[in-house]
Amino acid sequence: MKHGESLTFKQAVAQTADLGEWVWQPGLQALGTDSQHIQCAETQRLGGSVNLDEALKSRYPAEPRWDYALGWHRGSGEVAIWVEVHPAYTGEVEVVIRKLQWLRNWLATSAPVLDSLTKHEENPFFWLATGSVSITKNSPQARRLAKSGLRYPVRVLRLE
Amino acid sequence: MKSLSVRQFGPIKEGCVEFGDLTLLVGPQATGKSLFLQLLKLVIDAGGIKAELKRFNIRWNSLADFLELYFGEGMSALYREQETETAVDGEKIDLASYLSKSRLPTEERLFYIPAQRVMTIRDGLTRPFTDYRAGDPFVVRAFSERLHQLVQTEFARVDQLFPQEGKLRREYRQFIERHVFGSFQLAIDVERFQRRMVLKGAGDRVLPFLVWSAGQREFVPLLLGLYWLIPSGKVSQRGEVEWVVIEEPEMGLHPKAISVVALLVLELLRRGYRVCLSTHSPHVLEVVWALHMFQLYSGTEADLRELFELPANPAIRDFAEVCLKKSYKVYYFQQDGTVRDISALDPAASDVREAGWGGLTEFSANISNVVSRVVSRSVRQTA
Repeated sequence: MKHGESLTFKQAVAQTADLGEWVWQPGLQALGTDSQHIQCAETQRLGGSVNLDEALKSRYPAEPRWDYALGWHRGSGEVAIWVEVHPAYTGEVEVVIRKLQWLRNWLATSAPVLDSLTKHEENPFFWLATGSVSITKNSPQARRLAKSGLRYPVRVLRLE
Repeated sequence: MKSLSVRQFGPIKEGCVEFGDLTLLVGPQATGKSLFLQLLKLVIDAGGIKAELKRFNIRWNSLADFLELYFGEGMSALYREQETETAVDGEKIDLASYLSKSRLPTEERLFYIPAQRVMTIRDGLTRPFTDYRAGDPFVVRAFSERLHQLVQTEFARVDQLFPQEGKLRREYRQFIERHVFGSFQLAIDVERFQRRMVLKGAGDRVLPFLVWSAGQREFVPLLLGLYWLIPSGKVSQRGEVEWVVIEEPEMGLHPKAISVVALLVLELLRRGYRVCLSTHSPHVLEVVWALHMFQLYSGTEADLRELFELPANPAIRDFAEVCLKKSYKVYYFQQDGTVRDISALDPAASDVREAGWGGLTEFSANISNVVSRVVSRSVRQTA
């Protein structure tokens, strides 16, 4: 069996040294009021959530930490989905891209079990906009986002 | 007039447009945008249209004949007498009896710059109303007639049409020079008693109409239309004209030149005109979106000036202040025959029709999402 395969999101969180099972919370609870940015009709498919920013603050205080991780049941197992709740201005594009780069690096070096759940999802990173989105879809910043592997920001993520 | 509603008119099953100071119509081809705008002119200018046709000895016997003359050959069937409904500010009007009224005002109140404007100049010569076939759309013939009057009569003693001192603000003229004409001037060359438009370069090098760039050929009739609407001196508006329709102002133009046209459209608003545009240009919508965002988030005249790289002189400041107070509306003419208000232009709206700006940015958004997925997949595979 490959490392991480068939594990649940909760187990993967527990096996990540930087986190530990106590940071895992059921449903969308770790997102607090930011859970308003997530819509899902089949809540039984949620595999819990982690406030990554809070959990990693003491270990990486100066790093551009990503906000949240979610478990989501898809097909035969659970996948990890990563959401950053952030204002969507053109000036924030580079900030969010730096966060994504940091997250990818952290997954590869410090969270291989969670990384394996992430790899089951084709594009698992989402920028959820607080307030208005001030980036036009034809803008260089929108193309810069695409080039970094990040979708155009949305205000609400619909998990299906 | 605050709103115009139609049912069962050409491809439009049902639609109501509440006009702003600037109203944009977007949507795919053949969804009825142009028909709707022509109907708007017909409702506003019925008396003037009838008078203009009669001035050229054109007569008609029925509503169908009149509609063929007005909308163009083969178009009368789009108005179905038993089914088509038209309402102004919520009150239904019966077009047949409305058009048969004998005491309608005849002054033109809506100036229409049609999409076919490039055809109003042939080899640099303007064309009078009678130069067209009876089956050609009235709005094309009427626009052509205005340009003919302007060039052959009003500017009879003028040798250079652009740049021209006193016509348009200096800042606008500089933008037009930079983004449309380059180092050329739009001049009049008298050939066999006819006044022909040419571009003149250094050393009086003359470029005839057919060697102009596609954008220049499109822009010149638009510029002349704006000259018609912007009289010299301190007069803000032409005659009784209150409304301006411009179809696809972006036609043939580079985005930098489209910005100049957008600026000139805002100048029309400042002068008190109500303007309706049909457009396929995301660039035009971006300008309206920016104005909408400025209004929502307390943007200032300095922000608007920055958008267009305008200087901070008192006249331009005043212009920008006025533009921030105007109302902006956007309607999506959909392929299912309905019309939808997408004025918020929220790129993150849950409704894809609004988020995709009536289909104008959907493709860009899809490109971004597919590219981001490919990049993400590649990063995952190499990790």
